[in-house]
Amino acid sequence: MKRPAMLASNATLEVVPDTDGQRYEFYIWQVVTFTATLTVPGGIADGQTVIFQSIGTKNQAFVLFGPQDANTKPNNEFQAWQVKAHSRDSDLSVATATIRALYSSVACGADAKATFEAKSIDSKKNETPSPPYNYTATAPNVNIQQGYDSYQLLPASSDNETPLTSSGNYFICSAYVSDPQTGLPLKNINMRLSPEASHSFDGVRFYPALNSAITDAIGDNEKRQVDRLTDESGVTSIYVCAAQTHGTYAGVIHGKCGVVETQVSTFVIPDFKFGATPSLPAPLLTSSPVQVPSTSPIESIDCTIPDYTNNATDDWIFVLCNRRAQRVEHSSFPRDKTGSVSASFSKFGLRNLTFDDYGSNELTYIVLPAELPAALASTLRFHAKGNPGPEISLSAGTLKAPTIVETLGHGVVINTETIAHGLTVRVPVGNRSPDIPWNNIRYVVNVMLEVSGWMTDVDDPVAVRIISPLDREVSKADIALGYVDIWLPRIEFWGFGQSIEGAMGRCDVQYTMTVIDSSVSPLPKILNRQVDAAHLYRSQVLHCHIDTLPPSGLGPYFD
Amino acid sequence: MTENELAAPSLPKAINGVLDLGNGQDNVVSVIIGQYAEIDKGDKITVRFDDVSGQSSFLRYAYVADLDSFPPLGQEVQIRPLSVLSDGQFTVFYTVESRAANVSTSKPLGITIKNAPGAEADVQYHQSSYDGFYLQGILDSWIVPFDYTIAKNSDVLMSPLGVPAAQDKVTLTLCQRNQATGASKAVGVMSYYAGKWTFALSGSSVVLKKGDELSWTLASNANLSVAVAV
Repeated sequence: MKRPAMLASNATLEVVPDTDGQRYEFYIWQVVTFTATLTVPGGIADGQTVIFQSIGTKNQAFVLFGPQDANTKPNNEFQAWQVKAHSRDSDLSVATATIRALYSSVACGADAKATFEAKSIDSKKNETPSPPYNYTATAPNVNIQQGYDSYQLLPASSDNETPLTSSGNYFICSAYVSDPQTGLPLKNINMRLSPEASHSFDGVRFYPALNSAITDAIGDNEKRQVDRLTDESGVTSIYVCAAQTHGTYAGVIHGKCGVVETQVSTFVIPDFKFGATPSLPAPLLTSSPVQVPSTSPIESIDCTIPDYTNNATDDWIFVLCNRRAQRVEHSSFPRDKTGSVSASFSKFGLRNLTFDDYGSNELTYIVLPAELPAALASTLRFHAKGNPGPEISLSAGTLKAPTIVETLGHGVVINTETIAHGLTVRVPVGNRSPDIPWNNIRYVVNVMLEVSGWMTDVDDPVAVRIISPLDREVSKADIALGYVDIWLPRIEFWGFGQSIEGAMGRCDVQYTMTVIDSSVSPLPKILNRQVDAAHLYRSQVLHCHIDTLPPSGLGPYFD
Repeated sequence: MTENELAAPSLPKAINGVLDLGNGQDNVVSVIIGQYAEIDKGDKITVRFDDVSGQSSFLRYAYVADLDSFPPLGQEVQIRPLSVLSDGQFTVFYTVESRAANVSTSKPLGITIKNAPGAEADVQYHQSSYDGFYLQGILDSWIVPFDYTIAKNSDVLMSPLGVPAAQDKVTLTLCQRNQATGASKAVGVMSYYAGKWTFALSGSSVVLKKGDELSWTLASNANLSVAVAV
């Protein structure tokens, strides 16, 4: 018969979390460090065991996070974790034990109440329980920076490519996590990236920082997931590199934060050297040569994705023209029906008969099924004719123009060195943007870019790449800092040269600021360039020159 | 995204990787830069010779004046005088920099140079211009960056910048201070007399070691208007 535990008469046990104000208020998927302090007046606390009853596997809300040391062991009786307490100085009557845990319960809804418990046990089985700590839980608000944006990587140039060795062949998955009511940034919230399709993560590798080594790569290959905590600013950033030197890959990346899950980004890694998949016929066009529309609001040309073998609803389609992932509307999408479907690609940047350029263009697509690896279709070579007309220019507002961090102090031309690690658009906020009321109002900043120039082997017309919109919430940390940085990958700017007469390419940058209506969830995915300027805070346009065409050409992938 | 490597330069006079300068026929070596993908007006071509031992290197430049005038068989960059070349193994490559400062680099070409005339004799590494009124004493001093030898009087080059104010004679003494021993000695004299500058070594040659200090000392106050290369 089990003997009842004895209570240590005058000992006390207190447990405090490392939350703001040491309050027992947690956000779902927050990582919390608990510090238990055992005090045994006139006795020995050093070496006693503290059992964190709320951290374990028995229907508990917290799970151990990160590696444990020799002092931390599972307790089978309580199905919880126990930690040996140690004194920090010569006073052995006081000892502490710390443990790091993820608040994982998804059973608790917002503001759910529960109790956190712990107790210590000495060598004589005397128990000292902590007070019952009542706590509340809240689902954090997760705003995905650059959400829904499509990225393109090239196949890795080596087996162990890292952000710094990749020659700019990476992108950043980034999210901002905030309190749903106040918008304040939340630190130590776990963000979990996972792929929508089974094989997507086989083609990429994840790193915590720009200067990470191959050994710093993060993620659980078997579970196909990557965990990363938010920093002091509530931001979590993960650098994504190509992991394979050949083979086509694609992915739709989801970001999960407890009960909140959203799509972070999509990516494609087309490998033209590896070749097309025979079962995927080339896309179709309605005419040959294809007529380029000159009407100014129309920025794309329609094509048809044929009825390929085993096509299925929810297959993702990514259209590529002249080896570049397309950014126009309906150029990357999940199928909503089987059979042939329509798609689009940009009308700008094509080799064009109207301009005496008799070179052909290449059109293809990537299919990403749910369970099978992504595959590259056969390529359609086509000629185009017709003046695409001028691009739609950004309409200037009155707010202070943004800057490009990489060009500060380095002249006015964006060249290949400037974009070595992509471009960072810096938007002034807070005191640096006094025309906007910042008190107790939350905003989403949207950055829009129009890059235009002359592509290699194309004398005319000018090619235009529109990168818009990139948005994220302006956090309190950003306001205190005075700016928000929005990053764009190198490939978006790669290969814009001068005209044959020597005219420089152009990179125009602008942002808008939109008030967040907190009753709308998720945050509004708002803007494009046609939105009525009267309803927005809109900035002046930053005009830069761009020439990112190396004398030796764009490399084996694009040449 | 990595741009292409440019093709290696070619040296028509180099046979099987050996550039033999011993025949004395020409006083120039041609380096040929082939056509590249994005030739454009204003491109700056920089040819570089690197001694594989790390002892010396030098650059020569050319500019693309017109897209249409780039020779079909390649742009020639001339290396002269031949005295910049010395016997040994060199890596030759070039870069092309566009007007927007985009830089592409070529593959290297390894060559061996033989029978270089005056090899290592007149490597120029210090050049100064003196123009104005100077007080007597040390005029200039510098540290020798690598081992070399001033073998003959003509290794020190002088070029008048103008006609100095009327004066009979100016004397500048070239002094060498040995880094190892700290001893200093005069090794040559540069003089102006009757409208002409001359240089004369004190002995047969001056062997310089990396880290030695060289200096010009002016014998008396004088007006100078001359550029000097050692």
